Amino acid sequence: MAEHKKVSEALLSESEATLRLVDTLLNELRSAEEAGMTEDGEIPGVPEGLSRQGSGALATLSEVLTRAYNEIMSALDALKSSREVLKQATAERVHRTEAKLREVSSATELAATDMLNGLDRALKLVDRLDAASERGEDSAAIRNELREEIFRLISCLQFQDITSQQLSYASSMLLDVARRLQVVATLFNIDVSSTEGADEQVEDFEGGTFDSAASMMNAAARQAVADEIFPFPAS
Amino acid sequence: MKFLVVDDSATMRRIVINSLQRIGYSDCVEAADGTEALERFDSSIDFVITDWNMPGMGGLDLVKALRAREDGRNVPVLMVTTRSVREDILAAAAAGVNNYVVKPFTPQLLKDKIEQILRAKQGAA
Repeated sequence: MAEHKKVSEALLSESEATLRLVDTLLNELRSAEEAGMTEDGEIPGVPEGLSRQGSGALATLSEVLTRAYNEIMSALDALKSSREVLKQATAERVHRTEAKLREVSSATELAATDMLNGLDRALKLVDRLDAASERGEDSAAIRNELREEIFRLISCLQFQDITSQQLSYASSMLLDVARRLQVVATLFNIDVSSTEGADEQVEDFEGGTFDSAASMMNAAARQAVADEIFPFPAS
Repeated sequence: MKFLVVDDSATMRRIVINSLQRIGYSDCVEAADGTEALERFDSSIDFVITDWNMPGMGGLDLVKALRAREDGRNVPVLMVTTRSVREDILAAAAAGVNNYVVKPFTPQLLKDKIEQILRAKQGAA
């Protein structure tokens, strides 16, 4: 990535230098035209063959070169702005994607920790059940506790829905970057067939199939916002 | 009491149904989006639990569609979703949602909200 950036910056700088040289030459040609031809029909500083075509042809050449220069400069401006758009679009979106993937990672870790803790508690309850059985004691209370623990473990699996939404958001960001790159690539006649369909997929994501802010974090604080709006008395 | 559980995530549907069974409600119908929910909804449904973000018809549109129907006008609806921005919750309230649970939820919270809605309904009757 850094290597490509260096190459493109070098190319841009080289193109600019070349165009400045063309600009300088054009100015020289204009000066020569204004100064007029010498007695033997030559224009000072202009190659012999070119000069022989006369000042009319020179004026036409000058116009063509000026037009070409302007077109190249506007193309260069477009390139520069494309580069800025690309930089902004990719950097910002890749950053957001990366942040979302980190969130997925921490959500799965949190869920795994919760489940491991729950399994530890469940195993201890099984030990207590064994002990109660050996002593011939009633174990109904321990069995209920074990059921509750297993039930809590099932609830931990909500992380699947939440991380799935987080991943959908990350995918939508990547597809959006692909779509933007596709637009720029088209300017350079680069084959972009592999990114075809990105538009449709982005539209699918924008259709509301996921919540971009889905999170495992601060559930109680977020629930409190809902409870303010639906103020039912606590049971 | 018959519940209609609407969520595009099969895992979430199972978790919600499991929670309902745990608190004594074993009669449940499932739907993966709003459109399917409307197809499955009839006067035998006593309670709707719906997610918000789903492909096709989402939860908010489902609630609006239910409230526009004669047989869905008064059915209790609990929204269970990851969306927790105040504006979203207000929009859900305006659409006719009876209460709101933010994911991830505890089984106790889901139980409390269902009971609160049912108590309020009984009080209103």
